[in-house]
Amino acid sequence: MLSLPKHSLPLLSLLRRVRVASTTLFKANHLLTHSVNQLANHSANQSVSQSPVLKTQGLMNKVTASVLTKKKMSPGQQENRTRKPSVELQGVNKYYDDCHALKDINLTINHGEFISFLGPSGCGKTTLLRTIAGLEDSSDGIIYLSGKNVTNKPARQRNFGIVFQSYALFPNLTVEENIGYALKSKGQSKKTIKERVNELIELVGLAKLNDRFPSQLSGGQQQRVALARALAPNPKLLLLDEPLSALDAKVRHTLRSELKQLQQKTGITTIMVTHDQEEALAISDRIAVLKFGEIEQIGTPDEIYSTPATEFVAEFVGTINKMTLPHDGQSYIVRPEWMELFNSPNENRIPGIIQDVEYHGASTRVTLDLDHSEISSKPVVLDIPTPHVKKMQFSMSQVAWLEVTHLDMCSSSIC
Amino acid sequence: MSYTTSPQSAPTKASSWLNHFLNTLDKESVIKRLWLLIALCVLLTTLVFPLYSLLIHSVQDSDGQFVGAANFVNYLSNPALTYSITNTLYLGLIATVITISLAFVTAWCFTRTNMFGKTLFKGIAYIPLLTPSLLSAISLIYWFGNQGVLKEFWPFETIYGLPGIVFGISFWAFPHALIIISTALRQQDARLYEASEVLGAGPIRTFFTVTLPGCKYGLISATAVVFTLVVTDFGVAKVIGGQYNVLATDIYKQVIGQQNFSMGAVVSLVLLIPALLTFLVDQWVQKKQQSSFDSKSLAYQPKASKVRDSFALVFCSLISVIILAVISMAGYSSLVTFWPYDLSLSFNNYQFEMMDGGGWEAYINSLIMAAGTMVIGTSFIFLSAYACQKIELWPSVRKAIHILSVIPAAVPGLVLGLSYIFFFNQPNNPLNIIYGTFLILMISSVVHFLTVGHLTMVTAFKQLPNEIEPVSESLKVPFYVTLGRVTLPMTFPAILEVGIYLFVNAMTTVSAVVFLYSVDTMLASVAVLNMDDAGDTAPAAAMAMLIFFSALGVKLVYSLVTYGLTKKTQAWRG
Repeated sequence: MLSLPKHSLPLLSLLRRVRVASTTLFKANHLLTHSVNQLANHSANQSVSQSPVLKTQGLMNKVTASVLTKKKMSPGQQENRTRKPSVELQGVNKYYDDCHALKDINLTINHGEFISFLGPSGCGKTTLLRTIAGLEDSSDGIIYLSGKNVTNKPARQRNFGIVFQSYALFPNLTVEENIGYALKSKGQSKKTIKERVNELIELVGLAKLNDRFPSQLSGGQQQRVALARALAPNPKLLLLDEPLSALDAKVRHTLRSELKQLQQKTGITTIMVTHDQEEALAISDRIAVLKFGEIEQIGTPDEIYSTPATEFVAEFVGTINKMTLPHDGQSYIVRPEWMELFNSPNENRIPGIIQDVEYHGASTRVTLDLDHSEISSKPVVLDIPTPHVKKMQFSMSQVAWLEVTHLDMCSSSIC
Repeated sequence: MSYTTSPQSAPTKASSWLNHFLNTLDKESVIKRLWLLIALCVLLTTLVFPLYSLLIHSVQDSDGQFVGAANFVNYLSNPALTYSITNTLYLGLIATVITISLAFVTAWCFTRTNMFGKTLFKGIAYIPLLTPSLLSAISLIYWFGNQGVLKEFWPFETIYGLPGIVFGISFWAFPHALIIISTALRQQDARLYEASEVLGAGPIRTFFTVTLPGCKYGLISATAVVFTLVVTDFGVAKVIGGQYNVLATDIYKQVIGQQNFSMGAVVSLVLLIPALLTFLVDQWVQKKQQSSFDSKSLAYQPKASKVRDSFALVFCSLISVIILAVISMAGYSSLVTFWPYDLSLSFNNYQFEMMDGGGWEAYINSLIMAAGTMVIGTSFIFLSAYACQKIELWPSVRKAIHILSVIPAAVPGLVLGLSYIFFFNQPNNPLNIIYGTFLILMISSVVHFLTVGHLTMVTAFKQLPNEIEPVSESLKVPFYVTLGRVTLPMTFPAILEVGIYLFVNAMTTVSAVVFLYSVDTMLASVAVLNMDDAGDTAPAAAMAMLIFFSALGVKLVYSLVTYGLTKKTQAWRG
């Protein structure tokens, strides 16, 4: 492999782009491909670039292969196949006129990973998703999908499937026609398409609804059709833009675990945008918490919940109490479920008056106004298992004592 | 990572633009850009350049020499000509007031009462839309003219003049106002009325505090539309205007009568001013108009009231009687062998071959022209509206296409026709070949009626889910495939609506075509004009009735076809 001086890199990128363009325009690229491929093998991690024609063939082969062999790759298998991450963002910025919507985003997502973008409305999570998809242009920075620089490429030249909040099903096509939409336009045989569509219908759990129209389906069913449609062309990346927020609470719970199972079965890298922290915590491998266009923290759900990196993350995900604990006088973040409430005092317990008792079914949220305001300036919120509350007969304006039972989990990093 | 080296961190502006451009040089982008360019070029060639040509000719004399404002000075210093300006404005004012008042009350009857026979009245109210504007003038002649049936009952000296024009043009503009005001009234939220009632307001107070303010934008819009129609109409004033000169007839006289094209251009520009002003007013209204209907709104259900319903019934019956009287007199007079001497009925007047005017060929030509306008116009409108709404490239070009598509509403038909003579009748213009053919008639009709079609299509596109194109991109399906498989079927009802609108208007219009027809492309509406000019009023009525029946027939067939088709293809609407 050639090793070339660094300043020839932009020239090579340009050459590569010219070649792609000329292929599209003139469809005569043998000599050019060969020589550029020689030049292009300049980096240890670069694979041989393929012309668009070969790429399409490669994709079709994959679809056919998966239909015929029903091969499902586990996340581990996929990851071993290639060393490049599925998605990589470097220094991505986006401006809308004066608004700095995305600020210097650096992000690496590995193959087979399920990552959620979590944050309040207007924090840029959907903008980030759309920028990765190519539906929005980034103002600055580089975006790599499976190792290829796609920064300036439009969405149709990137490899992903997307499910929108509104599903955007084609209302005038049946379930079957919707799911097979991408496959039909690739000119595959009817039999192949039908087999693949049926495979997907079974995968998402929509049996016997082939000939229905979207208007005849429930929200949850429409959601599944949208998912199947996005997965039909075997994309390398699945993007979900608040896929569950239009559904009822009960349906949401069922569907989100199905979503996770589906993702594990297919092993496809998935990015989900959501404002529902419970959802993010339940099914993500990792969560990226965003605020005002910046990533506040990326980590596993437990890392985000138990060891929040910033005050914002701590307050956004779950509820926190900021307390100065008497045993060492340090400030801590204490979650409501890390404490217990008692009827009687002892040296470890902190007294207070019960301000509010809120019944949540399985647990009860008790708000305790502490006697010693130096421990916590605001009333402390505790989540107590309801049977315990009933047993202790806690009620309003009663005196009670709290004890921090999971001291090891409390973090002081951000106080 | 070896690709995190510095070259990418500081790309020069030129190379990043080039990169971006080359990356988007795939088939789809090229098609999209061509699409936008073609739409823009078509609009420039059929609207902007001709109007520019008109402007140039207004500052030239008959020999083509530049004379600056001399023509305008000439015009303004000639009281006979400038008198037309005040006449036109006066006509506009009176006719608009009458039309809007009648239309408002009728619309109120349709939307705020439980009157019996609404469907029938609605059907009758839309009859004038299917007629050439001349028809009402001709009918008036037979009712109240010198040989008219009820000539003693006409309250004015003669029908030829302002009163005649007012009657004729009000008849014709009535349905336009009715549609706009009905829509505005229908869109009012019932909960406002409920609130008003609960707070103790009586019906009169509710009317002035809820109903009127609620539809004020609809009223303003209707006023603007009717005023433009009245002021730019040519047919009624020509037939029944008598000595009352208006700008529209002046243009015609200058061009056809005196062959003074430059002066014709001058008067056209003068006429453009009120049309442009009312157009701007309407644009302002569209911006201000927010639908008061949200997802929680309720449609208004009128309460029972016999008194109110009786009044409504009487009023609508009167209006219907007038409309039916006009149309049936036109029909009757066309069948009368020789008015007023031989009142026996025959088809004499339908033997167009015997008269100068165009014969049956004119009628066939009109059908061909209307059909062509429908096909060309609907296709172009669909594609250019799609480009405006759904193609994401070149926002400035898209905006230009949209603006150019809306401008024809401000251009009177005569003005457009004259500008086409100037632009297309030049030997050094390669497009000269279409002059004198059906094509130029079709094109001018499409452009003349472009705005309503364009807005209808744009509205239909706006109602589609806007994520269909991104989904198509993510599935790597070319946008034009999705256009055919999804977008077209979804907007099918709107497409049909635009089609029928173009056909009916192309069939009945006079002003857009009166300067552009040739010996080979004589049209029915122009034949009506010519026959009336020649004194063959009864044959003129006959041809006008033929136009009416054709428009009516096509509309009925169309309704049946669309009913059947939409039932079959739109079953998915659920």
